[in-house]
Amino acid sequence: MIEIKDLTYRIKTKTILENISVNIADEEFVAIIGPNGAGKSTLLKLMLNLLPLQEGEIFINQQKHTEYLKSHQLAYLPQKESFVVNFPLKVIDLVLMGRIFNKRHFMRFSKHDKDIAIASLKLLNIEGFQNKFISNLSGGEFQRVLLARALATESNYIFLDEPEAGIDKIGLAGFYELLSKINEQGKTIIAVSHDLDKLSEHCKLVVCLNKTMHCHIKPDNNIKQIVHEFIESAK
Amino acid sequence: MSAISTSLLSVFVTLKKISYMSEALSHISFAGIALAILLGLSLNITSTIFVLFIVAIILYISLQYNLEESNVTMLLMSVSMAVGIILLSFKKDYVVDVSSYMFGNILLINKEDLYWLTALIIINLLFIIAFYREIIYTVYHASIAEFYHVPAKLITVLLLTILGINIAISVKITGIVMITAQLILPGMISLNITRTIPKAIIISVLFSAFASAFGFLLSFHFNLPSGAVIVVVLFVLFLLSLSFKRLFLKEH
Repeated sequence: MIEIKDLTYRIKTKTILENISVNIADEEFVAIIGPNGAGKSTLLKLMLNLLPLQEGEIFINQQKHTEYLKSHQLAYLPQKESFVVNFPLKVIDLVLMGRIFNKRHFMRFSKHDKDIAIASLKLLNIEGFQNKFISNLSGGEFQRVLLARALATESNYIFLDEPEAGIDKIGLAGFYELLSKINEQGKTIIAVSHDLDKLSEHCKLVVCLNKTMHCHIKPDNNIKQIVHEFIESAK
Repeated sequence: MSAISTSLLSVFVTLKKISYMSEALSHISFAGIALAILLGLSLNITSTIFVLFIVAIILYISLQYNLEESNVTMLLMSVSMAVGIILLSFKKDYVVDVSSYMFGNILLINKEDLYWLTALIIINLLFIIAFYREIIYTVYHASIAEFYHVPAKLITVLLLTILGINIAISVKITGIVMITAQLILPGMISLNITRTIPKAIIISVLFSAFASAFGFLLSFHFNLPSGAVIVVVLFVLFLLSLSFKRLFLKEH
């Protein structure tokens, strides 16, 4: 369970987020949507403690998130990581990055680590990729590898920042299918996205954000209508 | 030997796209050399300390004020060059040719330098072997590596420190202008030939050592400046590796 209480974040005098309170239950699949500059990524980074809290509090499993993070590795698919694909790194090595937590100096991966990395690839139907170079992958394939790294952390919470970037439409549908599958296996998924059209078919909760929180709804038949209105009003 | 020590790091410098850093640090070490000449101190020790001091300033400023590392570096580079030249002009009876520091002078090497270079090769090797994965992940993407608990900041500091020491020691042999080529070209050549990093490091060292030996022979034979010949040899090898890459890609 993630609880966000009265969160406000400013950069100098500019308010990025104002008075955000939201609870995300375990095994939830949340889509955080909103226009550019709505503070979506900022909210994600605050939850991950990549940005320091200013006002308000965040709890993960009843612990302050900074405390929780000391003993847990969260899973995170950052925006724009796909820009570094021209790097001579193999898929398996990238996935093993998710296993570094709690290793002391001189990282050495055990058989157990490798098994988990390969199992993660298998779950996403890309176990054949392990010895490929990341530079030989398509955008969609690379995103799946990043998802495998997220799974390899064995974290119950997976955060995604605009995962649709760099994936074509068909690849994206498959990617969301995979997210649903992982969600059904008990992982909590929190995705920031521009693309609600497809994502709303898979997620269980939509959070509309534009500095303040506008709505917090379960997707049903008229979700697209509501979200469309929200996007229009935000413009 | 200086070729071996710098080429060990070359692959990482190329991958991390910090070639500007090696250029800058070599210019910065000029101020260190000037200081050493002015005060009559050991060249190696003075310029090493000086370069490390500047590395610390670069890191501190870019972390503290959130400025681009590259901008801060370039700023300090010009200032250091300026300071170096001013310092040298204080020394009225200064006779050593500045150009030998710009383009390197093999005749400036003494026995002490050889010990320094041997030590450097060992330090570089130990650093790479001990922190191999950490370095790879840091060079891949420092902030993501940090999120997944790679000590990326520490590795960056260590990498720049070691790079700084290498440059400070090698600069009077290789020359301010030439050392950049020696730090970048071997890495570029080897990454054209192979995509696996350990192989790339080995190839980088082999090519760099070959270029130095061959270039030195040529320069000796035709009475040309050795530093310049070595860089040209490296560049020819780079062109060859490009065509190798093209052929290799066609096969696939």
